[in-house]
Amino acid sequence: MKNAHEPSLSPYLDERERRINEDYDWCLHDVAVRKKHGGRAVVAYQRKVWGAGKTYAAAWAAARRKPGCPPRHEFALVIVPHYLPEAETR
Amino acid sequence: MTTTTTLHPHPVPSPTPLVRYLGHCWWTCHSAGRHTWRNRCDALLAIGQLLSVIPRAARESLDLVIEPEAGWRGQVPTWLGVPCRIGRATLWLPVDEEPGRHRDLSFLALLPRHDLDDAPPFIQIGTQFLLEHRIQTHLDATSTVSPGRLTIP
Repeated sequence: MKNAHEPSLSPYLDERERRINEDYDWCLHDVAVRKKHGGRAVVAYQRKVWGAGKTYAAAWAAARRKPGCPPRHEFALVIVPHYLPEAETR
Repeated sequence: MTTTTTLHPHPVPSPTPLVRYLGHCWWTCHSAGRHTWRNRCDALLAIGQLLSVIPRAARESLDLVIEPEAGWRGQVPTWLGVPCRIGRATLWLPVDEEPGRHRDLSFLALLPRHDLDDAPPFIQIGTQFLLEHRIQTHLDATSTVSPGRLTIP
């Protein structure tokens, strides 16, 4: 059985990955982001949504059009959950 | 060592309460040259599905490292009528017992030639993955604190 396993990757996230993780979780939990972008794909960097769209590709294309857009590998690409107040309190 | 990974609810707007359960997943991706790196893309637990699925949009946006599945015999199934290839990616799941640590697991998946407009955009975890890794799945729709978890030997 072939395995795409790359032994050089550590089981612990590096600094870039931790930063992506923080942005990713921010998109999942921030009420304003969820109200505005729920159900869509976004690309986020340092707690800022750089692009949004129906698909990852659309979100990334929107981000790339903005001046100063960071490189792709710095972004969190997230499907943002809908904000449903009744679901939050269930 | 057996580890636990929490599943997280992902609510869906509907006249009746609906929820999906997602795991916080990292994937081994291509980078420049021979190096690889990881990116995060949460995956949907889809136990109504036999084989896992990696939608085309997710594959392309992540630039996943996918190895061919040499041992596959016979025709590759379609996914909702869409022709597929089949291959293996590497999935990294967070280990609840040791915050910050992740464990890697081989992930066999259908690779549809194109995506469907009304299909969820998530990578989907089918029952083959659970069987291959002997994973116990626990879901509790009454709990918001611990709604679900995977126990992996």
